[in-house]
Amino acid sequence: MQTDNPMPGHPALAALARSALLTAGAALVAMAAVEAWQVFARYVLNDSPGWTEPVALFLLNTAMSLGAAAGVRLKSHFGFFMLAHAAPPPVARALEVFAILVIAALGAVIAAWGVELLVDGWSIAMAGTRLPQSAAFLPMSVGGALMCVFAIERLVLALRPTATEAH
Amino acid sequence: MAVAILFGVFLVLLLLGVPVAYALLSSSLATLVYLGQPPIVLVQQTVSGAGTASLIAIPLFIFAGEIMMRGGISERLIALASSLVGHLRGGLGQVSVLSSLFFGGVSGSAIADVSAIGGAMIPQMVKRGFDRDFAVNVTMTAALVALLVPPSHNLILYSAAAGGGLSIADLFAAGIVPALLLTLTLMITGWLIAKRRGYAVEAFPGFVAVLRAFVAALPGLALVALIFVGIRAGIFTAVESAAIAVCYALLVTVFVYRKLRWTDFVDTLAGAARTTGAILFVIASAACFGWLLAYLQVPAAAVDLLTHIDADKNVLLLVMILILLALGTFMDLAPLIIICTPIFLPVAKAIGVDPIHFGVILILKGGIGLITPPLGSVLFVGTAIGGITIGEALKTIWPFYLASLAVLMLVTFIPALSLWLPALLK
Amino acid sequence: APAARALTATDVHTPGYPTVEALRFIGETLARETDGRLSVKLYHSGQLGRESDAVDLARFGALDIVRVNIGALNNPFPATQVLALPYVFDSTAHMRRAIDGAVGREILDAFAKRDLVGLAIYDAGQRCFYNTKRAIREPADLHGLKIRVPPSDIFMDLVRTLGANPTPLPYGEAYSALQTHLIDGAENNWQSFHTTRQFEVARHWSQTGHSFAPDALLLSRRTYDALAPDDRDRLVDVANRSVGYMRGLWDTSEEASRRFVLEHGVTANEVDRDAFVRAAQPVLERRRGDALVDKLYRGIRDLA
Ligand code: NA
Ligand code: NA
Repeated sequence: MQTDNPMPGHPALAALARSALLTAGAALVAMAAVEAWQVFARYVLNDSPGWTEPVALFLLNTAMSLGAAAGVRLKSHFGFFMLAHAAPPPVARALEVFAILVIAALGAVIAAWGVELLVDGWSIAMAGTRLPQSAAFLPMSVGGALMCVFAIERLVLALRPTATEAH
Repeated sequence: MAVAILFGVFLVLLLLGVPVAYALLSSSLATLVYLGQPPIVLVQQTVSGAGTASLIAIPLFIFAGEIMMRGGISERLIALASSLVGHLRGGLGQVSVLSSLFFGGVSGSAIADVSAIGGAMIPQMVKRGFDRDFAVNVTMTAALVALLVPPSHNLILYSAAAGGGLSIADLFAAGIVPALLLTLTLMITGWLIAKRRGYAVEAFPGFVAVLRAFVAALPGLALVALIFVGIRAGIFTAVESAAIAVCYALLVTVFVYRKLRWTDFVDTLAGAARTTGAILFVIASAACFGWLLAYLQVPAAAVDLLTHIDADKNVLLLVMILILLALGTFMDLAPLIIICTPIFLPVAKAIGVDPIHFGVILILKGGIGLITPPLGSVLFVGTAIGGITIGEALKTIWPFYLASLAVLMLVTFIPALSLWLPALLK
Repeated sequence: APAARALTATDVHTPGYPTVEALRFIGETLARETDGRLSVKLYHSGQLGRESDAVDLARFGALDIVRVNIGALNNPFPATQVLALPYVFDSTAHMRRAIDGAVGREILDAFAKRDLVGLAIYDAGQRCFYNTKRAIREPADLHGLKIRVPPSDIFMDLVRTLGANPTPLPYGEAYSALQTHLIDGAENNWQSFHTTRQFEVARHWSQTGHSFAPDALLLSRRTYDALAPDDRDRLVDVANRSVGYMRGLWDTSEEASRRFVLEHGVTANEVDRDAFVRAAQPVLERRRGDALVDKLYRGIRDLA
C-alpha cells in the first residue's frame, strides 16, 4: 500500500473524501450489526431472516466503493511505484499523470456503465429483500464518479507548474 | 493473442505505476474489447466480484483489528508476551514474535500486526540498545505469523477464490501448526542473532507479573478462543464470527478497558474504511480478470502444461512455489491469492496436493512476498515505523528470509504439518 | 455459407451431471449435422461464475447458452415461479407432460421480454428434506429445525410456512454447516445429496417431494439474431431433442444416487403427502395472487 501523506488539495474535496470514508465506516458498523442480528434471530427468535446476507453484501459494496474512491485521494491503493520513484523528476511526473489519467478514465466508465446496469435491473426485486436486484451497482456508480473527481483533482495538482513532488 | 493482451497490459501498467486494481481493470477492458465482448461485462463482473458472502468477513476482521489496535487490546497482548519471553536473549525481539502469535490471532492481518506491534515495540527496542535494523526485521517477519493463526482473512479469501467449496474451519485449523512452527523458528533466529550481536539479557519479572499480565490480556486472548470455538461448534459461520469479533472488541475496549473515545472511534472507522477500500477493490477488480482467464481457458492450459512435464510431484510443486515466489515479490497478497488460485489450484489438485494444504502454502509464500522488495506492504509499513530505509533493512534481513523459507519448505513437503490438525478436529 | 461459430455454454454442475451431458450432446449433434461449422464450447463446474450472473451475461451477449435453475429466474421472470411452487406437480410424469405442452411453451416464450430465447426445460428431480436429527413424516416434525435454503423467496417462504427455520447459506457451505450443526438439514434432489457428500452427515432422507424446480436452458437473443435462419431452427431443434436424451440420463443417475446413499446407511422414509400439501397451501395461495402464475397453475393442474 502506498502510504504517502494525504495531498494538499481543495478543502471541499477533502471534506468530500472524508464523508465518503466515514460513510464507508458507517457501512462497516451496519454490516457488523446485520450479521450479529442474524445470529441473535437464529438462536433467540428461532427465525432466521433471509434479508441479512443481501443487505450485508450491499453494505460491503458501499464500504468498498466509497473506501476505494477516498483511496484515490489518500493514495491508499496497492501498487508498484518503484519505477516512478526512481525515475528522474520529469519522467516521474509523466508517469504520475499517466496513472491518474487511467484512474480518471476507469472511474468515468465505471460510473457510466454502473448507472446503465442499475437502470437495467431496477424493477426486479432481489431475493430475500425488497431492494431492487441491481441495487448492488449503486455504490460502485457513486464510487466510480468520485474516483474520477479525485483523480482530476490530483491531475490539476500534478500539472500545476509550481507543484513539488509530494513523495 | 487475447491472453497476451490480458497479461501484457496488466504488467506494463503495473510497472508504470498504475495501482494494481486499475491495471487489472484496464487489461480486462482491453481484452474484452479485443474479443468483441460487451465492455459492460467489466462493471458487471467487478460488482459481482464483491458479491460473495464469505468476503463479508474480511472488512469485519479488518475493522475488529483496528478497534483492538486503538482500544488497548493489542497493548495488553504485547505486555503479556513481554512478561513471558522478555527475559530471553534478544528479549524484546522475542516479545515481538510472541505478540504476533497472540495479536495475529485477533487481527488476522500482517499489516495490522506490524503497525500495532511494531509501533509499540520498535521504539522501545531501540531505546534499550537494540539495533534499528534488528528491531524492524524481527517485527516484520513475525507479522507473517498473523496470516496463519485463525482468523485469517487471507484464508477466507483463498476459500472464495477456490470457488467457495473449501471449509473455512479446516483452513483455519490447518494454519495453526505452521504458525507455531514459524513462531518457534523466528524465536530461534532472533536468539542466534542477539547472541552474535551481544544483546543483553533482562531479568525475569516473576510469576506474579506474568499472571497479572495474563489476566489483563485475557479479554483479548478470549476473542481468539471465541472465534475458533464458535465456528468449530457450529454456533456461527466464519462471516458471523467476524461480526461477533467487532461487537466483542467494542464491548471490551469501551466497557472493560474504557479507552476508546468518540474521536478514536471515528479514526478507527476511517482507518478500517480506507484499508477495506484498498483490499476489496483489488478483489473486485480481479473478478473480470479472473473471468477472462477462465473464458480463455488459461487454468486448463496451465494444468495441461505442468502435468505434461515429465517430472516428480515434488519437483512440480517446487516449480510452482518458485513461480509464486517470483510473482510474490511484486504482487501484494490479496491480488496474488485472487489471481493465482484459479490457475495454480487445479494444477496442485492434478498432482495430488490437498487443496487445504495448498492454501496454507499459498498464504505463507504470499506472506514472504510481503517482506520482499520491490512491492511489500509489510516491508513499507515496517521500515516506515522503524525509521530506516528499505535498503538498510535488506542488508541484514537475510537470516529471517532463510528462516521463513525453511518453514515454507517444511510446510510444503510435509503435508501433515497442515493436515494433521484439521483431521484431528473432525 | 454462414461463418463457423463455437457457441459458449455454461453450467455450474460437474461433468457427468445430466445437464452437463445434455450440453455436450447439443454440441456433438450440432457439429455432426453442420460438418463442424457450429459447435459448443462448454464451461462446466461454474468456471464462468454464478447462475444469476450467467443470465445477465447471456442477456448482454457475453455468453451464448446458459443452463440455470429456475430459482435464479423467479424474480426477473415471474412466469417461472409456477415451476418452483410447492406441490404443483403430482409426479415426474405430470411435470414432463406440462413442460412438453402449452405451459412449457408459454414459460419459454416469457424469456423474450429480457433479451433471451428459452430453449428447453430440464428435469431437476423432486426436492426433498434431509437432516441430521430425525425422520420427517409430517410437517410438525420440521418444527424448530434449521434448514438451509437457497436464496429464493419461494423456498424461504415455504420452509417458514412449514414451521422450520429457513437458514440462508451458500451451497458450498452446507456440508460443513451440517457437520458443525450450524444447520440441522437442507433440501435438494438425490443427485446433489449424493455428490455434495452431505449424506455422510445428514442421515435422514424424507421423501417430501415438495418442489420440482426444474432447470432452464437459455440462449442469448443477440446470438439468436446473429445466426442464419437455418442455424436458428437447427439449434432450437437440437435443444429440443436434448430434452429426451437428458431425461434418460436423469432417471438412471437419480436411481444410482438413491441406491448409493441408501447403501451407505442413509435411512429414507415416505411422508404424509396430503398433510404437506395442506401445510404448503398458503405459499401457493400467496403466489397465485399473480394472474399469470394462477393461469399457468390452472393449466398444469388440468393435466394432472
Ligand atoms: Na490471523
Ligand atoms: Na514483495
